[in-house]
Amino acid sequence: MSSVDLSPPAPGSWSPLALRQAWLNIDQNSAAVAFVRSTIGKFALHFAFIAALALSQQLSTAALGLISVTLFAVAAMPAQRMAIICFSSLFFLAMRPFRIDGWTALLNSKAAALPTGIPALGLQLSAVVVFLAIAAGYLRWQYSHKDHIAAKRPVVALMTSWGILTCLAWSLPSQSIMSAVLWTISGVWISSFWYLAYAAADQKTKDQTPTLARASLMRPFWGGSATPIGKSFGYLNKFDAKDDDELAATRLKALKLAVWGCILVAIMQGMRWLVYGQFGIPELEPAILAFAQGEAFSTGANWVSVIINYFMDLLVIAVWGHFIVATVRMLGYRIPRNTRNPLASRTLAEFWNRYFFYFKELLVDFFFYPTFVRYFKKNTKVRVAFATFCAATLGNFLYHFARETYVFASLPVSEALQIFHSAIFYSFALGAGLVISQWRGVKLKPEDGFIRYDVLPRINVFAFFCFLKIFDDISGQGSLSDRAQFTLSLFNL
Amino acid sequence: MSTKPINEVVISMLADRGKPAEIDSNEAIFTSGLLDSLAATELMMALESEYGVDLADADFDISQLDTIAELETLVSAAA
Repeated sequence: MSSVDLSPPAPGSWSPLALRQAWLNIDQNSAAVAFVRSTIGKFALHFAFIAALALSQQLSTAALGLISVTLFAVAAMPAQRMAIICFSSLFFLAMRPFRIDGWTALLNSKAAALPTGIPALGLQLSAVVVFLAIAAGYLRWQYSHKDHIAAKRPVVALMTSWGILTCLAWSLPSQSIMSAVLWTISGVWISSFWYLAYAAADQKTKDQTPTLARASLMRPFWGGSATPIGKSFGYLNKFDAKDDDELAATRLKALKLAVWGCILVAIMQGMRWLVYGQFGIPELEPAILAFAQGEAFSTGANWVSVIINYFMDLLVIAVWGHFIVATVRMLGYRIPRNTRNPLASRTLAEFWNRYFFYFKELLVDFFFYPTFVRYFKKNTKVRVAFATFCAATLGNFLYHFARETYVFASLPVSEALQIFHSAIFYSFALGAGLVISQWRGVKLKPEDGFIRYDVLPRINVFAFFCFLKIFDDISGQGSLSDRAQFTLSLFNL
Repeated sequence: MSTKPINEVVISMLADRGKPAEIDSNEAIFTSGLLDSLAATELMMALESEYGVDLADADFDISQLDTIAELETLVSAAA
């Protein structure tokens, strides 16, 4: 069994900078890698990882418990890794099939209104079983009918099928049992839609993952939103550690990322305490709503609110992305981070890549590339612009619209549609910004000077997303007009 | 039609972006983040214009572009 080198450090190596460097390079430290390969080291690392997740206080006790049990089970029985991941993910899907509270609230209200006394959990489990049967059935059918158009275009086929089911649910009397059942299936389906889409995309590749395993990864136990961080088994397999040393190094990288996530949580909480608590600056949404109700905060406070919201948003996305990616890495899959130094972005496209990598991947994989290979092939500028528009505007809006369709169960269509006005504007503005940024095509070089190369492009990106975030709302609170007027008020207009 | 091997095109793209030019033919280029989606569009345009690959074919899947070995298969099939 190997041990960590505990010989006296060289003079100066206990300095904070040297320790920081040693920590950052720990996955390349052969003694550390050898220790993590050992049985004691492996379990010590797992305990440290779980402790980091617990310390962050970002996960519920149940979620932390499921992650802990799964990771320890994989560490103890590595040959059964895929089966353990599938079992754990199926359990998670059954218990928490929805990504957002709106669907859970709809399920509870539908169950409560039923005269038959079916409990919400019973309805939920039934819907999960039906959805899994649909997912597995489609994947199996797709594999054996490769030439069928519905097999070649899985996203179109699955989205159309889900749309028909949702329209059917909407058209039924709201108190009926069929309405409750169909709405619940619709919610489970759309909450896992993009995982199913990636599984279907994998079916067309050489990846050998069994179909049932693919169908089991509809709600991976590592949690997250409807955006598939880690995509699918086909994607994960590309990043699988090749040997024990690489597995140990990948787990050390996971621990590093989890610790970095904890540091970001501390920074986030410190910022909240200082800015929102001590300085009394309003959070962005309350600031917009106060403005809409004629009780606006001062222009200065609103400016600070907009700017702080940008940084808080980066921190929130980074923190939960880091914990999810770290958990996946603990399994031995060295997948890329979800957020990687977004403040370094010098273009809008680069920002998306660095800010929310897996959502950008979803839009690129399912909207950009399919459009790019088919349309406007004779005009490069139009071709790239149209594909960008389809991804950043249409794809982005469709993702959010579909995710929030539960509002149609309880609101008249005209009222429900109003909720999406800001999201439509947001998606158009994002698409337009990206296209204009591509068309400008200014390729600066370091020789252009520090200000022109390093500072101004980053300020452009920062300003664009600061203002865009004002319209990033799908709650229905604060109309598009309120948000536009709030923006103008920042300039005393 | 280009006579330049496709692996040289990829290596040149990597070099332009300051990435290591040494790459295994089965190593993921795009899914690993070595090259981004903008680079993928450049490569796709090169595949169409210089190697005669028809990416609009309904059987085409983006994952076929992820390694040099896959790119070579795609190019040789179009030749």
